[in-house]
Amino acid sequence: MSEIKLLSSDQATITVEKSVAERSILIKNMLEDVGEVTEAIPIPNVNENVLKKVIEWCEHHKGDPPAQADDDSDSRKKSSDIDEWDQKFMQVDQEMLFEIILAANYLDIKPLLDVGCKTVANMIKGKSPEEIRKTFNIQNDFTPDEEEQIRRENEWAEESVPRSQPLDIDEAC
Amino acid sequence: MTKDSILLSLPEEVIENTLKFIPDDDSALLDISLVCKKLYRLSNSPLAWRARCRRFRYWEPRHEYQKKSKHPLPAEVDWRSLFVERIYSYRRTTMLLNEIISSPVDRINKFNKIADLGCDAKDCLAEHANAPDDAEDVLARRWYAAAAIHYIHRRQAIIGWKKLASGEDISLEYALGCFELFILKTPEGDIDDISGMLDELAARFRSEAANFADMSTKAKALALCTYMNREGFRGASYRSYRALKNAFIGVSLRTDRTNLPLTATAIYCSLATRVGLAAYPCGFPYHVLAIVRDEDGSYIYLDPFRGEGSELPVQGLEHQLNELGVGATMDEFLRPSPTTDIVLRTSRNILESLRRVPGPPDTQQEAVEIDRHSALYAALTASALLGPRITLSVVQHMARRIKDEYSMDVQFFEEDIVPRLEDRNARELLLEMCGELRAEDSAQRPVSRRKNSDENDVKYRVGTVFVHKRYPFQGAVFGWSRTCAPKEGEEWMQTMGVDTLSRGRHQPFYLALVMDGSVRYVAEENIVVSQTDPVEPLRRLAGRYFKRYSRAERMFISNIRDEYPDD
Repeated sequence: MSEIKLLSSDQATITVEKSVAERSILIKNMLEDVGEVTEAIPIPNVNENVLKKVIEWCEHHKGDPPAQADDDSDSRKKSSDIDEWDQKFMQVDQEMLFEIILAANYLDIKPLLDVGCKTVANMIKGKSPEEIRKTFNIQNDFTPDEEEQIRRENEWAEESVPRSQPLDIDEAC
Repeated sequence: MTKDSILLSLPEEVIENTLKFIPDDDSALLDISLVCKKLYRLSNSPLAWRARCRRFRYWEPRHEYQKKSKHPLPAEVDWRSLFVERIYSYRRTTMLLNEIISSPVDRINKFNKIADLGCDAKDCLAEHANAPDDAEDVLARRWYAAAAIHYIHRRQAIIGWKKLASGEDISLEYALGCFELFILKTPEGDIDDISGMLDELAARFRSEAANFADMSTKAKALALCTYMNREGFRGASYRSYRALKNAFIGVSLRTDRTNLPLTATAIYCSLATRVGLAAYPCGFPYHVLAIVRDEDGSYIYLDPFRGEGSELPVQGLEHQLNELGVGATMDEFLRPSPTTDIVLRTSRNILESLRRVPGPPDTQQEAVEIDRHSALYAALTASALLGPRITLSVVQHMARRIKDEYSMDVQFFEEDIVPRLEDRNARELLLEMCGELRAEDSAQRPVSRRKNSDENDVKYRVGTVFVHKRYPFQGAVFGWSRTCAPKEGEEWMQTMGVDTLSRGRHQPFYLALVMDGSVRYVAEENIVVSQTDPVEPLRRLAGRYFKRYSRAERMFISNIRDEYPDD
């Protein structure tokens, strides 16, 4: 079991199992290109805190099957499909959440990026435009006329679909 | 307060990736669009709309979805309109399905309205067919969604065969794939999927044959035969020859790849056509063969069932035909057969398999479970639509199936089957039956109430899971009468010996759904409340009458309260 060293943006050296680090396609490709490395690989965009967090995720998911290249056309995606461990993992403040997303994007760890994006999607879901602005500190840059125009374009979206009622007792099977 | 939004500072492709996870069947998209200009732009780009479209797998051919998704300039396609139209179909399907589940009235029309949407309804129905275990009406939802998918498939098959009957050019795989559509239990496995499997096999053959372009037609034809053999296609053994599954092209492709000569030939011809050969099935007596037209126009005969890489000499075939005593009309058996003949021959193969009582589950052969009722219905429909004439017995068999389970099929039965009957009286009789089915479907159901005075009048309630006192089956009560009153009348009571029961005919009788799919009428004295939860097959069937199973009450929860309001 070989290990490699990573150097964070704030100059901290972190030792990690090679197979774990290779969850990052960026690092994997780099190692394939240069072969054996002894010195630490610089990760200039990610600080120690975030890098540790990302490695924690990779450790937990090291046994996962490799991600599909493009699973868009698969069944309809639902943001609620986050496993329990990942949900807990993502219970961090907004700044850390976005740092993790940026790191996952930079390091090319698609499944982690998706977990992060799903978490953000869950924060958006079910909120009014004003609530979304508040949550993410966004300025409304529309004029009332523009708003009206968008409402008209999206009339189709307004009627919602009646769904089957979930059961609140634990006897269904 | 003036701090920039971190969300908006993310790279745009990351924001787009986030928006992909927002469900689009409620107003979330509108809410996002209204937040700010940047989110509006990102969530309304052509590629964002395309991503939404790509969540749907099944599309009606008129959308030309495959063509659009391969468009060299994807931003040129009007994905938004496509998606909006699709969302309307999605909602309509859900609405109609909810109505079907919640009320028994007018189900025929509602099923037909869903089926009018065709493939556009399938994604939605597939979701409902996989309703989560904790849905309030999980069993009913799954059952009726699956029934609607089956019906969409049957309608597609009927449209395909009608096109064939009217002389349109229908590919062999399509014409035979229609049989598949009757027996499929899932949304997957339809004709597009069959074509996809054939595409893959053909592509692999092309890539494995190194010098394909330089090969002669004959060499290609023979190489394809041995390729199929390498890929695991095998003629069925003598013992399992009549296994029902061998007659179905998709089942053969998907599972263990054993087949009948006809199925093997159909697969062979479909592959051959894909690699540029002119190949046809040849309706040789007892054993369908493949014909490939050589460069000079002569025929090369092959037997894909045996899968040997050698040509069958025509003299040998002529000799066999002489032996069979059909020497005079020999040519007829040595030339390409019309697709219609191959479909009818498949129909006869299925009937032949069904005529045999299924033996003990034979190693792997019956591992593929095919519903025999559905297979019969497929064979009869093919024969009714494509056969030279339609017989009353075929129509009567179909009518029985329609009465039992496929009431929605009344529509095509009236339009396409009955008019083909020559006998006017028979036509009228059947139309009358259709009329009755429709009347029954559009009427409120008769109500059976319990009396307050005698609580023990009818002991068991709708939803009771029981085992029969004398026979080893589990069932669920979905109806009762205070005394024995079978639909079939006195004759049934005589045959069944109802009067020899210890409590005779004057005891409550129960309509029961049985785990093998049959419906029985059981005397109260033979009912023993089950000490175990219902077996899986019974649960699957139960959705027709019940919402869900309650473990606490050890009962199915009724979805037929309109008929039995006190149960």
